[in-house]
Amino acid sequence: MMRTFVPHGAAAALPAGWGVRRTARLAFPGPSALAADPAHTERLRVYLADLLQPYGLALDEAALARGGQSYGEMAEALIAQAVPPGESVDLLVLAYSVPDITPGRATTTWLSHLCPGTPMALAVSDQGPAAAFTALRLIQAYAAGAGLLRALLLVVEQDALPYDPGVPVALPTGSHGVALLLGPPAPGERTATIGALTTSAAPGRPGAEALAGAGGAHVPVTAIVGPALPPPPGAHRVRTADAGRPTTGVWWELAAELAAPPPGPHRLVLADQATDRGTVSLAAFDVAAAVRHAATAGRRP
Amino acid sequence: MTALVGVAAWVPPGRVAIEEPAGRLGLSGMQVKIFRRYHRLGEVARDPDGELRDLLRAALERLDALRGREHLVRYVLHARTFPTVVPYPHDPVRQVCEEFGLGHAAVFAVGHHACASGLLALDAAGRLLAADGDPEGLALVLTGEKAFTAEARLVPDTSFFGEGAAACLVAAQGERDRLLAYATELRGDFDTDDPETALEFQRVYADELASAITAAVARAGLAMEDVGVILPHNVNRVAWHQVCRTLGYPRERVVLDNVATTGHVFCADSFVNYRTAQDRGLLRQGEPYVMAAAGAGRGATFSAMAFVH
Repeated sequence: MMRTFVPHGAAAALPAGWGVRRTARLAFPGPSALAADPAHTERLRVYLADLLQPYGLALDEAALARGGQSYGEMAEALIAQAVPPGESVDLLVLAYSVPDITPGRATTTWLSHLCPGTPMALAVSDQGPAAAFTALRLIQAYAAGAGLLRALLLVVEQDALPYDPGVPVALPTGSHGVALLLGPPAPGERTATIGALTTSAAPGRPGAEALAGAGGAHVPVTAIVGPALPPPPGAHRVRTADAGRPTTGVWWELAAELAAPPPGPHRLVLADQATDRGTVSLAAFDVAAAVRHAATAGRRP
Repeated sequence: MTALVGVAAWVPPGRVAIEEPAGRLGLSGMQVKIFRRYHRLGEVARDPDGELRDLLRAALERLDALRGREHLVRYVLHARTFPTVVPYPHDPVRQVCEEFGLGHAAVFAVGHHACASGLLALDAAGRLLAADGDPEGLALVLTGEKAFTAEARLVPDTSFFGEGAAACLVAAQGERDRLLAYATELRGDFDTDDPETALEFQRVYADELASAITAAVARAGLAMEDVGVILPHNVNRVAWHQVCRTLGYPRERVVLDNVATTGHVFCADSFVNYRTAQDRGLLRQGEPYVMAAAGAGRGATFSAMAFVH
């Protein structure tokens, strides 16, 4: 499907209520099906050995034999859960940090073929936990400027790294994926609209300041923070992401929050820090009060 | 409207004849002969002692438009043919950015469109800047990779990769090299090991790339005769001659100068060829031109962008 775009001088307004409509989160405890393919493993061995050689690093054959995850397979499962039957997607963005077992593959091109709507698809990586925030920023920009309103953010991580990189590395303790389906709300649907969305360099910690300031909102605030950040002052409630999910952690908790939101209006503030570079990323989501339908309301005490 | 503020490119002086990578990859003498005589490939660029950061550094050193504007750069996007080009979590791109006073910027990789990821990054950079609403904000698109493994040395039946890099400074608006339209088609159905599908890919290659060019030009409100020059990806001459036949576009207006001498410089081709076109005086003020690229290898992407110089 050929997609054409023209640039915009300034971002247009998004439709009222445009935001997160639906979430999915999945753990992938076993190796991928692809890892069982010996031909693929041999290709991966060559690719990784050549990748490591200039850095004086060596492949860990035992770790390679244990397999790992394919983000293509993980995303396929997430798409099935997050995109309702009969719906389609205009834009798919994959965010990750640790490479998967297909390091040379244009996975999102494959996902475009797989996902309903044959979406425009791209990936953001090499930014630590900020990659998912940048991906969300891109989704917002393409929705406002290019009319790709129905979007899917996939944040994934896998725990297999078959070499010692020779530098400190925070690997996840398992393989996890989170999907956020974004778009204009369907009739009667409650969305989480996006407020502040920033990634800031360390000096002055503006992200942390904004997080603390979120407590000044006129609605209850739940802060969802990465394990490297202290609980922010002012938040009514705090969820701290599992350190074993360095890339997906805050999104994993967001998915849980949005799966069972309280009935009143509230704000969710995500903040995560890239420990190696000090940047703090921040995203605020506002959830309006649930609409009580007359028939339902009448039956409640 | 997204505009290019400056474009710089670096192709290292080292060259190896295509017989060298062909020998390492186990290609037959007949295959090499086809590459030489039919595809008109001769040698590829190599920087045998340099790393990725050396390539990127050399491109950035030539980006005069960046000097004095470093503090305005909000984003640095490394557009990649291959998603993983260094051991995780090594980050030479960020190291180079810090060397050039860009440590404050958001630095990340964008891609999964294979060799068409450079055009994707230009579009994404413009959209991020437009969404920010900061008229002074800039983004830097970096391209270029090392031919570090077999997959990064050969495009099967099509071309050999050459080493090099480019740096392109992007603004949300401007008068110089304005982006008019972008067209892209993702073909995930080509992500298979099936030999029949590989043949089908070769069969549709020229038509699909021509379609992307036509779509971008039409979306820009132009006709092909308005396009002064095409800045191609450097796969081979035959592929582009086929594209030109499909488009009815004169092949001499496609900048194929570097095909035989650099190889396919990953996502940097369009920018390397921009510099060549600039040096030859082929980019004329007010005249539209096109950048085009196809990404292949486990899926395919066909992309084109229409600009006005």
